[in-house]
Order: sequence, then C-alpha cells, then structure tokens
Amino acid sequence: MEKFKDITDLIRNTPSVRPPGDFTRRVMGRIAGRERIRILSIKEFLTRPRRLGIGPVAAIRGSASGEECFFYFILTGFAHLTLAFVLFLGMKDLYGDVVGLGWLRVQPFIVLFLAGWFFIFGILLWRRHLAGLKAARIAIFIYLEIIVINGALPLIKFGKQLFLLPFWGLTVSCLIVGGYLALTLQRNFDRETMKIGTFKR
Amino acid sequence: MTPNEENEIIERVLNGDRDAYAFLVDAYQSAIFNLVFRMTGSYQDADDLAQETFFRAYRNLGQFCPGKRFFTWLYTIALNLIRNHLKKQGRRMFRESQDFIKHRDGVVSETARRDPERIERNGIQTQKIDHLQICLQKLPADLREAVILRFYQDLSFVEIAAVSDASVSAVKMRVYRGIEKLKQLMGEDKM
Repeated sequence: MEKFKDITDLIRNTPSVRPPGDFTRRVMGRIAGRERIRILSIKEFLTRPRRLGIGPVAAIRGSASGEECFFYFILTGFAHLTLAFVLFLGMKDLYGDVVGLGWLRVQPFIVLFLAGWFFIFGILLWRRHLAGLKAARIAIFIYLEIIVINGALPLIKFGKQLFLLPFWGLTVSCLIVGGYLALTLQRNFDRETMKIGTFKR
Repeated sequence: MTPNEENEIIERVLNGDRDAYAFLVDAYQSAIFNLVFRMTGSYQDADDLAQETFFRAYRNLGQFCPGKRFFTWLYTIALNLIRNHLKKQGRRMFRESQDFIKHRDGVVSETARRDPERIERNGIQTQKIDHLQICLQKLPADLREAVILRFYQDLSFVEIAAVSDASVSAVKMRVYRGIEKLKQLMGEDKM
C-alpha cells in the first residue's frame, strides 16, 4: 500500500460533508409522523420496533433474543395444548368415557402438563431474562427426559407394535422441537455475558 | 459512542422511548451521510438515503443483535440501500462531482474563517481532492465501496468484511484493486 500513499493520504485529507442541520429532526419527524393520524397510530403501535424478531434459522446460529426464545416457548406451549385437546377428544368413546390403557389415558395429562411447562418458562424468559435463560435450559433438559422416558415405556411394555407408530411419530417430533429449543438456548448462553448479567436481548 | 451506551439507548427505544433514537441518529448521521454521499456523489441522494437508512434501522431495531456493534448493522442497511439505488439509477459519472464541490466548499469556507492560511496552503490539495472525487465515481461500485469504507470511513478490514458480508481476504483484494484502479484513473485524467 506504500506506493499508493499519495492517494490514501489525499483521501484521508478530504473534508467530510456535513449533513443538513435539521437531519435528525427530519428523521425523527418521519418516524413520529405516522402517529399524527389516529388510525395510523394503531399501525404505529403494531409496527413499533420490538425485541420480538423472528428468525428460526438465525436463532439456531446464536442470534436469538430472549423475547424470540419466549415466542418459541409459547408457540411450543400452544402446540402441546392443541395436542392435549386432540388426545382428550380422541380418547373418548360415544358415551364420553375415556377409553384405552392406563398408560395411554395419562398421555393427554402429560401433554397438558408440558404445555403449562412451556408457558411458565416462556414467560420467565420474557420477564426475567437472565434467570429465565438459566431455568429454561434446565426445563428443556427435563422436557427431553420426560419425552424419552414416555417414549421408551410402551417399547418396554408392548415391544415394536405397529399401532404405536403415530405415538412414536409424535415422540420424534417432540424430540426435534425440544432439541431445537435446547440448541437455541445453548447458543445464546454466553458464560461471559451471564457473569456481567447482560443477557442477549 | 461506546457499545454499552448504544445498547442502553436501543433498550430505551425498544421499551417505548422513541425520542432516545435521536441520540443514535446524532451519533451516526455524519458517517452514514458521508458514506452515501461518497457512493452516490449526490447530496440530495445522500440526504434521502441516509434518512431512509435511519428509518429502516428504527423499524427493524427489534432484530438488532446487541452482541454486534450498532454502526456495523447500520452500515449494512445503508450499503444495501445504496446498492439498490445505484442499480436503479445506473452509474453516474460527472454530475456528482459538482455536488461534491458545492458541498465541499461549504466545509472549506467554514475552515477558512477559522484558519485562512491553511486554506491557502491547501489550495492545490483542494483541486486534487475534486479530481479524486470525480475519479472515485468512475470506479465500479464494489471497488468504490471498499475504498470508501477503508479510507474515507477508516474502517478496519475485519469491520468492512462484517459490513459487506464478504471475507477479509476478498475485502483486502477489493481495496487493493480499487486503490490501484483509482491511481490509474487519476493518472489517465491528468493526461
């Protein structure tokens, strides 16, 4: 670069151009401008920057915010809640009695419990970033354990039976979701950051 | 502005204190404005695109990852806008230089009031700077971008790589080729 020193020096000596004096005011005016009309204020409220930016692929690479993790937890909670209702309804016969084996009967309750599990830790992630992240990591670990044990029980009792295929399908799905959440949380868990108490938003 | 201060302000904005965003605009308006101005060569375009950069940054502030520097993110937004703008406009050659001279004169006259001797000393330098600006506009956009970020904006190679989503070696190559081409253009124009 030495042979270009004359040019690089010239560039560095170039005076910078000043933006117009009212630049900041105009930018802020543009941002605030939409609030002036009442109907647009709703749009402003809805489009106001929030921490909740969704990027599932980026999240797994480690750029998820605490609020994004909260969103994934709540979403997973709702998925479990829906599944619990489907199981509740699906296990009732024409007279409204719950049918099936003992182990099968508890499945909707397990799923319902897990839905609540996700809601609680999701809210904790949102409201108490640092403590939430630490707790959520443990919560996900416990969740995965529950799923593995619950999936292994019928295997021990019934062996490889074809009628259990949908059940194992659900088990695998839960493991994938749990694995994704665990990985997302782990990638965002920076020990150094945790020490100084500033959680990635 | 330190990264901690930036994060604090962003936190405030995200918590609903919209006016706090003005601190970020104040801190980075000059850098972004100059970047756009050097890239487009037009004061009006610089004004529009710099405004748009800050506006988009505000709208997408929720997606900003605080582990990164705010200015890097802001530069990325600005560069994307500039690239799109240049694609739409096509390459502009000489008219920009008039804009530069006009606004450079504003800066020079301000300096002249404070230090008249310095301006006299730098009279020849000023002509060279005008010539440089004209040649800069003749560079291909990617090389111009690399040269501007490295020498006008004083960014490190690593920072340029982060801003322009390229490898450090690619950035080094672009900067070298850009400055080489610039020297060549300046020599040609003298003849």
